[in-house]
Amino acid sequence: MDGRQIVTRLVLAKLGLPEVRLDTFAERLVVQKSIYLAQAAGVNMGYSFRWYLRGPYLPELTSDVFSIASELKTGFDESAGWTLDEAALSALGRVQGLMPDGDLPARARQLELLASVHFLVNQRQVAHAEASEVQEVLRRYGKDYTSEEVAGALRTLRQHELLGA
Amino acid sequence: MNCSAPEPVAKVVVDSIHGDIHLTDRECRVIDTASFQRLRYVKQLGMAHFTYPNATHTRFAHSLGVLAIMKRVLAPERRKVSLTPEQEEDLRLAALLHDVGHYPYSHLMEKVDSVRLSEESVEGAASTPRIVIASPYPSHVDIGRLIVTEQKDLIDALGSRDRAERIANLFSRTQVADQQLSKLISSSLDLDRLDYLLRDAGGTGTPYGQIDLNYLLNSIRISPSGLLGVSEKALPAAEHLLFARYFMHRTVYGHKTTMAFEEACRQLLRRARDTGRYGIPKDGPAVESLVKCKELGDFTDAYVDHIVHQATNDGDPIIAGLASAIRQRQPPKLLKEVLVLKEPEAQSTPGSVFKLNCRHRLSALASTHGLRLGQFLLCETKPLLLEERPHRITAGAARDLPPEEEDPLIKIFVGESEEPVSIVDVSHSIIGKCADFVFQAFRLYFVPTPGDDKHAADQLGSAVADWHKSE
Repeated sequence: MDGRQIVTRLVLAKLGLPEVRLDTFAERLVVQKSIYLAQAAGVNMGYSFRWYLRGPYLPELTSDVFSIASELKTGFDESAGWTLDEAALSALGRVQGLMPDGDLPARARQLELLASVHFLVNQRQVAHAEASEVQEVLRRYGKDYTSEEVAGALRTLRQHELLGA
Repeated sequence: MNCSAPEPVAKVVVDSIHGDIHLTDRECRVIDTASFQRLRYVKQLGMAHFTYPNATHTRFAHSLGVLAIMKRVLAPERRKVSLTPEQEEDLRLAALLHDVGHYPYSHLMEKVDSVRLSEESVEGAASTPRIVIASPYPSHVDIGRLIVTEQKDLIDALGSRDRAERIANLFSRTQVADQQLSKLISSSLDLDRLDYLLRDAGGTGTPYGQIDLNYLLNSIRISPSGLLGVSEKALPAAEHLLFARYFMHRTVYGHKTTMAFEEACRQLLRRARDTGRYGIPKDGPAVESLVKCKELGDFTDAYVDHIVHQATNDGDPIIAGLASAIRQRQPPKLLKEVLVLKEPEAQSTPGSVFKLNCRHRLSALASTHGLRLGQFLLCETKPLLLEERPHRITAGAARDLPPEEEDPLIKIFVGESEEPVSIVDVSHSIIGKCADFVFQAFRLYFVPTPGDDKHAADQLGSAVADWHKSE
């Protein structure tokens, strides 16, 4: 693991993903959106997310996470002995508060919503951070989130200080 | 199909790869900004000129090359997707500006935060808890975004801040508003590699990157949904492109001497930065501040050269040793190299055993020979596959990839189909058959300092000779 991969590994462990499971796309999506939200909270790992049909995503992150998982399988954890600084731990505390419960598909769906809404607002891809406008952009990308779900996501992101009031 | 009249040519630039590149007035204005001219002083291949003397070509020439390719791809006869003249110009300007955020020596300085010093990664070396500072240098794409949207000369050249934002959205692939344009840019910005493979082959004098550019470009089509691919008759040229990339990585990008100098320089920069020396930006926000102001023009290879020059007299013997090695072109000594072609599903490899042994045994080895751990550089190349997709997704699994993961794969228009499929899905392509293998190189170097035993490198080499084997 290089330095960034070590940080990524530590962040995933803090967010309840210590095993780094990547067998299905839903598992990989959960990892992607979790790291996206961690960066949104201020734990900058230097990943530049792009917009795809399922919201913010980055192939390089998938590569990094596969490298991490591959190393862990050899029984060699290079992140052992490393720790995140206080600012990062504090930021991750806010992300932990919005990590959804439920089965894998439900968690993947909710994380996709949170990350997508944050991306659209933060990258100024919507003129106003209002549920109706965000929902309209998501609808163009074939996402069937209800206006209540989008409004809930905006509220959650604001409550956890990932978006301004 | 939208057939707009061609824009008047304001200037013609002659390029070693593409010949005449016809530039519009708007493109000239962008190129003439100080923010863009900075790329004349950023080498494309980092420190590869220490290995290949002629590899001094720049991000400036590469950026013009990618613009030239984009112009050919957007030719009306090649696409079934409708674009307005403004959208076409946006795509061309995004191609031109896609690398405007590169750091000095390209990826060398950008990856400073990925460096792990031996004291941090070797057992028994650290006496205090190790802290990861989570505010690394931003990627060159993010820096490019900042430069395009914050530097006044570029905003003026592009016409407005809104347009600057739009262009930045395109090359950073954060474009959301237009799904079709978004798909086009996602599948086309790897046109990047069509230029850099040829340019890097020319610059280094190696034959491996010699791809069939004209045939590929003449075979490119844009589907009704906006996906870019090549026609089936160009499949061999597309396969050759992927093999060319593979061999360029094996020979040029991962060359042991270049890698040694770049790792030495990265470690020097990290050590100096972390101890507050030479005014090196201390973290990501400090880099962001730097590139938003007038000092951006000085953020070139010369910025690093100056630090290296000063550091040769540094009070820290490790920093001084690294600087002297670079300054005098004395490559760190390669003690051990482990090359691994990992088969699908293999878990432990000689590479992972070697890393484990370095972690467990390097501290004792350094101590035995009276050396500092900082004199050792342990590095590994990026996992390399024939096709550029997340490794460990097997070719079989790649057939079920969602658009996010399929994006980097080359697309082929098979038969008369209107939409292309990924190259790994083409049954008669060799890529799908051998795309599961991953190549990686693991290396341990030693940086001698004045006063070290003259035979230290030989003795160390003998000591680590079998570290790729399990005990």
